[in-house]
Amino acid sequence: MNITDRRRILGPANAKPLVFDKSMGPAQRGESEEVSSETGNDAMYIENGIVGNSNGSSYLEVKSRINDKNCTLLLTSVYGPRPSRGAFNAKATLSVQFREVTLEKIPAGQLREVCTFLTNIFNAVVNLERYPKSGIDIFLSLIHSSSGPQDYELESIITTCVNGITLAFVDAGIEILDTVSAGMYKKNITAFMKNGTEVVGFWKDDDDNSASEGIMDIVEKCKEHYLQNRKTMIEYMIRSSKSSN
Amino acid sequence: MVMSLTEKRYLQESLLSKPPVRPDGRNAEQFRPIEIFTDFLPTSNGSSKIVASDGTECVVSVKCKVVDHAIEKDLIVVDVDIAGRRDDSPLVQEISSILNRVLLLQTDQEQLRLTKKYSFKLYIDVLVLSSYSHPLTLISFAIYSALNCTQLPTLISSKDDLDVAELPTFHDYDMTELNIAVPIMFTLAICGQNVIVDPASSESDVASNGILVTWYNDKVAAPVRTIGLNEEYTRGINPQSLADSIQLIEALAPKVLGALDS
Amino acid sequence: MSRLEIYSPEGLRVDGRRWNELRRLECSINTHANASDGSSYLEQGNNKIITLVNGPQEPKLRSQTNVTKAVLSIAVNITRFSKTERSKSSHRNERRVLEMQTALARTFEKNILLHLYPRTQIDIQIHVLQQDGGLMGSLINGITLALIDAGIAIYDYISGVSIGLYDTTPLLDLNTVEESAMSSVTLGVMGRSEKLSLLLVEDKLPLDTMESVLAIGIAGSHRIRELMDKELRKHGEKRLANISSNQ
Repeated sequence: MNITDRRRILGPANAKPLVFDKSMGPAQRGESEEVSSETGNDAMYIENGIVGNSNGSSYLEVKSRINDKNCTLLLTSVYGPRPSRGAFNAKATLSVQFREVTLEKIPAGQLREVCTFLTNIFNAVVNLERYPKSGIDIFLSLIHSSSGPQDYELESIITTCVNGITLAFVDAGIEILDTVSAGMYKKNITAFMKNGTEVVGFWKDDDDNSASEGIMDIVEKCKEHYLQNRKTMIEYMIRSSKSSN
Repeated sequence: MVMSLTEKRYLQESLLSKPPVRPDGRNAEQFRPIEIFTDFLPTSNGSSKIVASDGTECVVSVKCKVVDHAIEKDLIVVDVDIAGRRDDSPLVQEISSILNRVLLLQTDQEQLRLTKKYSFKLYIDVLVLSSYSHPLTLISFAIYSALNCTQLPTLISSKDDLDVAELPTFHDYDMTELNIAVPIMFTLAICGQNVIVDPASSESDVASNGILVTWYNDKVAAPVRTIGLNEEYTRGINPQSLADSIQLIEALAPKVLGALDS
Repeated sequence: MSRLEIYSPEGLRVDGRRWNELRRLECSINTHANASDGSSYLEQGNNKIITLVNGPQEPKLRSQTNVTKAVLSIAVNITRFSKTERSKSSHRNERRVLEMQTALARTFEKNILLHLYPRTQIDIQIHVLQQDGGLMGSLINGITLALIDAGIAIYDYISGVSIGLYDTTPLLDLNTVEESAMSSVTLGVMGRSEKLSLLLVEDKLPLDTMESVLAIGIAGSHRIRELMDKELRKHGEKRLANISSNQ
């Protein structure tokens, strides 16, 4: 209060600043918890509700057990459903925004591809009819990604994005048809729902190793990873709901 | 064309039936008629124009430039311009990113090598005059035919220019045909259990999902991925549909290439 | 450039034409019937231009509505591959292109009977696939043809041509080489009259030669109008024959 405010007419010199009673801090939602799947090669750390002003958020850390260097850190926040202006819409509209917070390594065009891919997945998953005249905005902030020799591995980032968005939707309480999660096998990603009977997203990138494999085999391998990821996510959700009760 | 809810519902149900009933009477694996004109721009090394029956039209020009390949690594650049859409709109950015990556990764850059120091750099400019459904299939067909009719100047200086530095010189009028394998891409729509090729705009509007399949060197290549054709009717699909669409392309692509080459 | 003989003592130009000769002009209309309401394809020398007219249609934004007349918008897209050397920029929002759009819009706002179409919008899209001098004149001819194909009421043809001045000799319909070597004027002439709806002078020109420049320009424009008119009539007859044979 020592800085003189030149833009306003000041009160008397002996005026005291207005002090409010110290209010209770916002209730702590979603305790931090280290969850790691027993099987598989990844360790996953999940924490929900970090971003205070969003409707729902999730923080994911995925580390490879085999190679310490392979690591993806992603913060997802969901805003909405919030009223959208303009023409009447019977359904909510989704938008996905991806940003690299620290180092910008991924070309803009590829990020655009990832965003439309993710939007398409969640168009099929979110119960959009439930929220007419509204928009749901998803913001993905990639804090860190490294993968051995490469600067980044787009495939593991996409997989983490799918899982992160699902967790953020759960945190926001937005209706989704199922706990969607993605599985990765080499450079192929498949996002499943309904216990692996339905595919909501498939992404295959250049990879000589899996070129000869049939697509059904690839999907099957992705499904194993999907089931692990989903188990980890559900375990976390159950544990956090128990601890908050 | 904007359809009412009832019209969409009717269309959706007819596409879900087995076999699918398509609004223009096509079979599931039938393309719409397309017309291709090549080599109509004398100032470009290769050019093509493709017109689909619904009025979708796409012009592709290929121009070359001699560059030092030690400095410029990417020897193929694709620039996409869709009339009525901004350069930074999602669709334009996505399509140009996919095309750039596919052409750079898949095509053999050795074919553009001129001497030990210099290479041709190909600038592929795509202009979509009007588009109604997802334009990627047509663009890739147009690029395929443009690259296949591309003529590059014939080199007359020596190929080894590392010891004696000299700029490449070309024959006054002789041209050499560019000979590279070009990937083509297909968009398929999935409606329930059915897979249909070359979806029209009305079909895209009610499809459960879309799949992009790339065909290169007589086999399905990367990228293969799901793409959104609409926002309203997007659903999860049976894993079998993925296999079905790949099978369909494996059967169809050789025929399509045959038609494009003829 | 200076090595080339722009105008030989025998009276021949770089491409073999005489001073008062036009370049080859070929045009067709209704080329993009499914993509637009009116369309034309024009080749004037080595200029290749596609023009698409959409409208009169409901404006996309309500703020653009005019209750008394139609709103005309013209977008010129000069492709990167249009010249021999590929250009690095996309020419969009370039000042030269924006000025061309404004000049074209002003020319055609006076020629279209806009008051017949209140609360609507007429969009004209022009794609330049290849350019070889005298672009503005070709754009005018392309738009005129496409507007006629769209069935939009206009007062008369506007035909455009560029004229250069080489020493004291006016040269009709310049190509790129000539255009970069001398100062030039672009005309837009209304129909068979001698009224100008566009006079674009971007270079210095002695005033006393203006009369001869305008005279040959107007004569050239009339010739272009005739060529376009011939093509349109041919097209009209073909369509009429189609209709009557279908009945």
